[in-house]
Amino acid sequence: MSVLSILALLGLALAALPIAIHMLVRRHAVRLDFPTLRFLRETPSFRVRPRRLQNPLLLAVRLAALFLLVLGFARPLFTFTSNGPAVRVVMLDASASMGARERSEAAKEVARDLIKGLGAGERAAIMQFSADVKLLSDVTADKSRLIGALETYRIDGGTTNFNQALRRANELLGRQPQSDSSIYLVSDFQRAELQRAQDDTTTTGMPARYRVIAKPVGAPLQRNAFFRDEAFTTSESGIEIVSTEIVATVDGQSAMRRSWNIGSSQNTQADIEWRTQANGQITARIISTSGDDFDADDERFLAFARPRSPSALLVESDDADANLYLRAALEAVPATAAASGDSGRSRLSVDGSGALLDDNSKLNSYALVVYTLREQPRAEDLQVLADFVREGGTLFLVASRDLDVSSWNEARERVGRALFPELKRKGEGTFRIGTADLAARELKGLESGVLDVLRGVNVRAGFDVATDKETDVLMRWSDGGSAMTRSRIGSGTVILFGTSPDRLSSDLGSSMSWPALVSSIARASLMTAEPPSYSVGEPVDVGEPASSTLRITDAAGKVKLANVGELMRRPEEVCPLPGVYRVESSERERFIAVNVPDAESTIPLATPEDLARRFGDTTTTPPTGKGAWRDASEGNGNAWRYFLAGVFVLLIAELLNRRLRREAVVGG
Amino acid sequence: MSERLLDPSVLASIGRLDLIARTVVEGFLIGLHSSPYRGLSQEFAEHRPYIAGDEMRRVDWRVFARTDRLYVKEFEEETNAPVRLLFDVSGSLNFAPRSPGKLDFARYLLASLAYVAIRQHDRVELVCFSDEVRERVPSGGGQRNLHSILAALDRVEANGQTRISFNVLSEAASWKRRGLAVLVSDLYDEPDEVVEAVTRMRRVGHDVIVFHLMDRAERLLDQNGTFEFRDLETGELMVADVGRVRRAYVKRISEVREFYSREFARSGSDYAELDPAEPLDKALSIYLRRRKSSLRRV
Repeated sequence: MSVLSILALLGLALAALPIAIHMLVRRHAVRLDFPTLRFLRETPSFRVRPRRLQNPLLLAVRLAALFLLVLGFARPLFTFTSNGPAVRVVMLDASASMGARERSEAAKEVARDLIKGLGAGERAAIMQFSADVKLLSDVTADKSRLIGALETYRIDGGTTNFNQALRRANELLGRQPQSDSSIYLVSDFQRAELQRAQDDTTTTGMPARYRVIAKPVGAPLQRNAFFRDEAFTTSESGIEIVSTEIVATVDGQSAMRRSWNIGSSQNTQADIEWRTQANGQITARIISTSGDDFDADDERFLAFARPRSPSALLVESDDADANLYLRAALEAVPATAAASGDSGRSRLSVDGSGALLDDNSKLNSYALVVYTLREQPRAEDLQVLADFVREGGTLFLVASRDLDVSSWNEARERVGRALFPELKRKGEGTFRIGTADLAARELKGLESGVLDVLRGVNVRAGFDVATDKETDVLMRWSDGGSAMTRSRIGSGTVILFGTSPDRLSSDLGSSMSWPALVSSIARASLMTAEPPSYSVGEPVDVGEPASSTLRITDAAGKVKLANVGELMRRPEEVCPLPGVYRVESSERERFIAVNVPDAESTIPLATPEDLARRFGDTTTTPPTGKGAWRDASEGNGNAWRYFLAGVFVLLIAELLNRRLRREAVVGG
Repeated sequence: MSERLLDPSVLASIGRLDLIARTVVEGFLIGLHSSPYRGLSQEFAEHRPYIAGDEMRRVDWRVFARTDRLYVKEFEEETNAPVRLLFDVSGSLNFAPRSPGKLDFARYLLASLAYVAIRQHDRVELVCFSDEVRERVPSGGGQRNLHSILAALDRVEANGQTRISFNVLSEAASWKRRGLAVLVSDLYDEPDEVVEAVTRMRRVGHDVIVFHLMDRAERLLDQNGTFEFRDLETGELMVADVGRVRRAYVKRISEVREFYSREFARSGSDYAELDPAEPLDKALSIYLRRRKSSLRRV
């Protein structure tokens, strides 16, 4: 137990008063006329001075009343602990938004007050958190050490993961002896981040014995401008970058689509700078020049492969029927839909060829190659196609009914089994398309009504496409087998469809759903296969085996070694700040762009009600220091209970006193 | 009815000593026939020849029938044995934990004794003393003497210290005839001296009744708490915790009471403890019994 007002305990000195009264009472004892003191005087104990304390029971009751009254003034604070000293874990939000409006400075100030407010024997630990958690100081009672650790607190560009932070705090506290522990969350508590934490049902709940006290810091943003939703197109005049600039204020937000036309080399304009890297990627930085309160998201970093021209190559086979339906579908791609993004200026041009082009550079000028697998595919062709895909192209393979599966499997073995999926011919009979992943990029253009039509198409000859962990299933047959898959080779994509539009294989060619399906795949081929940027803390897929070692160089030239797995599992440690990073593996070099997460740019902060809902009633504690405990104690209404108890006991004492006096009155 | 009239608390409501005395005695005598005290009424002592002036009602007509001579009955009451009422009016008698206090109780007792003695045609003397004689009513009989005694009892106040032995012996030295001495006191004097005085009176032939007045509170010290005790005789003050002294005090008082009982019995005196809360019949019966035996020896 501790008390908030030690001085009030001096009131216990008043206990001397009833003791003195009880000692002095003998001078005013009730007079009792007695016939003679002769025999009283003869008793041995009569010669002994009477007990100093008269009516010890009454004295004890009066002292108890006095103690309770003093305790009420002293305002005790009971903490139910067992044998360990109290531990405070201070969790500092290090996400990007803490860089706005001096929030990080305010957070440090709060942490400093918490450290200074540590009582005797109390210990603390400091951690900072964003997407991941970093320990700044382990549990210690050394305040100077804690203050020193506090100076290492730095903001990174990541998002805020409250659940992860609390989980780590729980783990740390779980290693401490049984104690009264509290977790102090110091953050700006952006409402979007808090909501995300609340929606994240995959994390385990916090043990009930640890109190979480939210310490909101920082003023809300008044105005913030940032870029989102990039798109790229290639035209004769160059590459057009389109991005949406959002200006958010407390009253709402406005958006404006802005575009820049960049050439093939590098340049710097007022609000954009770009460079074409040696590997053909373009890295760019868009700058928002609208004044705002949050600087960290004013820059938007991009890294993308040069967009291919909106053209498709149809490698025609001997199957005229298939060729007909394929070309018709490709040429039916709407002009507006043929553009990358929403620029609306590019159109899909369709070239036909009886064989694969020998010149890979010419092949690479196409965004989409459509190839029919029939009879005995050649491994050499598969190799050329694999190279095309590796360089960022999209390959759409359709499997004809006369495909020799053995030859196919053999050919794919020769070029690398991981590059192309295995096929297995379906049995006799008619079957249909079952489910489809309409969220996949390649099928996003399909409306649900079209899918219903597609699912009604009869298929008479088809193949099940084998899948593995590197393959995504885009469509399934009605019997559950894979009908269409997507796999990645380098920067490009392979779409393998387990049937063909020729009339002997299926009724696809004559279905209205076939052009829509092809159009959707074609439009996806025109989009950049890889996202032009990631958010800090977002897993980065570089298309390499997980164990591959990467050499990662940031914009300042600082080099770090990591493997692909780390880039996937702990990207915030590999790429902690926004910017462009060079990622080099044993096989190739590429650039990735990392930006401030979208959630860090939001303006609304959590209200006290939001905090109370998430963390419970303990969020309403006032600023640190003994004032916090005082208010908590008074808020709990403890003091008046002691006063009331003291008054009650006093009443008992006086009733007892009256009774004792009544019994004692004899004569007089 | 008679028992109720003997209840001191009832007597206190009467107020007047003469009425109290009469109430007590008459009530006592009314209940005598059905009481264990039967036989204590006036008894025939002897005949003597009738002389002019004797009351005709006292003529024993049976003897006249047998002898044709007039003889009158002579009862014990006609022996005129002196009764000396010795009343200790020291300050200790002011102890009154309840009504009536010791002093009033003693007044009722002595008034009743005087009344019954006068009624029995005894000559009664009253001496009230503490450290010295405070009131004295010379020996005499009849209503006039009774009234004097009652008036003295009414008048006397308890104060001063006890000097029982001195005063009793002083008085006894002045008695020319043997008689019955009734000492009414709380005996807060040196027990040896008190016993010695009574023994000496017995030695010279007086019958002695000692009525030891002791309230329950004196006997048991049944208060609780710490008190400032004030000695009613000396005025001395002393604070004491009753709880601490009670046991030893009660033991001492018991020793004194046993001493008195033993020694007075040894001396041939009557000794009775009287609690002011108890009825007076006990005291009256003791008195009458002792008087009867006293008259036989005269």
